[in-house]
Amino acid sequence: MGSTGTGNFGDYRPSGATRCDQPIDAELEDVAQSEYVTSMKAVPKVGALVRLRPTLSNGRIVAEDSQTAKVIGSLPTRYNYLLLCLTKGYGYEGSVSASATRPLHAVDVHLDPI
Amino acid sequence: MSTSTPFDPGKRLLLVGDVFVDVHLQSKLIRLGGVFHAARAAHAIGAGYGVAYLAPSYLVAEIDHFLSKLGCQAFAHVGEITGSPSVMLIGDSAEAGDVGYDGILRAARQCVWKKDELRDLVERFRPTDTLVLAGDYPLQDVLDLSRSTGAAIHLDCEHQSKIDLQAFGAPIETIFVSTSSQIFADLDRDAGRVVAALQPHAHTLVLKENRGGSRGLSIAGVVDAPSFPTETAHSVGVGDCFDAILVAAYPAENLGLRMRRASYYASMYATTFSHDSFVDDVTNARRLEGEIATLRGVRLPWERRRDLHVYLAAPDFPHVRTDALDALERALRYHNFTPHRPVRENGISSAQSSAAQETQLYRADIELLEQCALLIAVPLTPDPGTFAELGWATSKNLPTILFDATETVTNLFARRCAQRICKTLSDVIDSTFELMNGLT
Repeated sequence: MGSTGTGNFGDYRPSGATRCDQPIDAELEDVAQSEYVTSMKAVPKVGALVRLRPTLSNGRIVAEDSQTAKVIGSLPTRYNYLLLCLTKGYGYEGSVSASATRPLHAVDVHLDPI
Repeated sequence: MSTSTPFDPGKRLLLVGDVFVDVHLQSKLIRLGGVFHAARAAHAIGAGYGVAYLAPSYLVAEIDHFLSKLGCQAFAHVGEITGSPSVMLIGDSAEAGDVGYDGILRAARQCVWKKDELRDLVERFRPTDTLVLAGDYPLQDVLDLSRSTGAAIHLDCEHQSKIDLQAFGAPIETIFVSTSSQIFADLDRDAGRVVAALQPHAHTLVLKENRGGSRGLSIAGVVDAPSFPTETAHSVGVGDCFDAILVAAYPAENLGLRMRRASYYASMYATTFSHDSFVDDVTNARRLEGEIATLRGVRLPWERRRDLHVYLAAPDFPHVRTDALDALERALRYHNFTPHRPVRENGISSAQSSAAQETQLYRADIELLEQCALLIAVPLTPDPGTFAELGWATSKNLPTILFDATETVTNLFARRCAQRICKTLSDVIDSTFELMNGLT
């Protein structure tokens, strides 16, 4: 309130979708020491189904393998806004878009809001 | 998820400060600012609050209208501003570097102080807490009148460095100061000096360190709280929002938790110019008390950033326009990092350079790279050296950022080498904090 982009003060209401409605493309962190890699001794293959866990894991928003529910890695902290989206009832599902073990364990994911 | 309220319903919070018209030059948006930022935060959490404001008379009707809409329980125009329209031009809303506040006709600003209005408001509203956003008005009157009701006094020194702290008498409840403030600049941006100067005057001193988090100092010791990175729409008033959220909490609550919550709510304030969106986010965030207590953010203390050296890989040559590189260097220094421009520090080779001279320059650049914690590649032109350095840093597992403002870097290897690809200066600074998090 008291915000405007026009000639007088008003109630600024931007139109369009919110950031909760945006898909996510992220390189996961902490992959090498993740539950998935530790137990499977491998990174998930490209195309493996993943989802965001609706609750924090050690203070992080994490992506888990949809089949095994094992954590694959954490989202970078700039995705912390997703905590609010999850609270509002959003879920995020998708797949592994890239993965490698060299030079470092790395997993990229693409997630869409559901 | 928790559903109990973290805010003390018994508090009556009086907010005191100027009202400004914030003009965001980049987004071409105008907004009531100053004390309104804290008012929006108070409204969003359903706090009982009043406002004592200073403003030019042409704004009074609008101010009163919007304070009413924001659920303000009592308000008064306690200072008539003349000589200046109280309009603040804001060059860099996201505060990648210095926000660049420019108050129009600020040198001509005069204040007709209405102490009786303030006294009437205090007697009507009976605040339990007064949050004072210090400005060019009689601070002592505010302190004396607040103390007459037994109100706890919380002072934010962001915009006023000439404060006679000795005149406070007994310590007040809280002093807030930020690394962006004039008082911080006046004390040579030395956190130790600022703490030494301010801590004796308050039971709690909170030093807000921008994207690097915050620290709280009290008799119990020092506690830290992270910042919570977000997609920054603006950084204006985020600190005032932080103050209001912290002050509205239960005073007996752990300071670290209060600071974490204030930081999280302030990050939500920074994501939007829409108050409705902010209120919606706050309403949902009230259910995240447990999560906010553990959520990982960025904690990069001010003085430790100086030890984080940043290599700026770029065609920093005499014939190249380096405005973007200059701005990046300034922004990094503003946030207290130590950037390096190897061409300026080590020199530049030319067609006349001997093989030995070239080797010497190359080794000097490598030595500099090895001292750095981060490389930011700024390909102002398609310069092979910039990309070679980016590749070298990546192979050494050094964090890297590719600052590609014009999206002209299409080479697969270059794009995949960089840990982050950023289009704006604000993104680069956000990524710098994120990648440096935990390195100190």
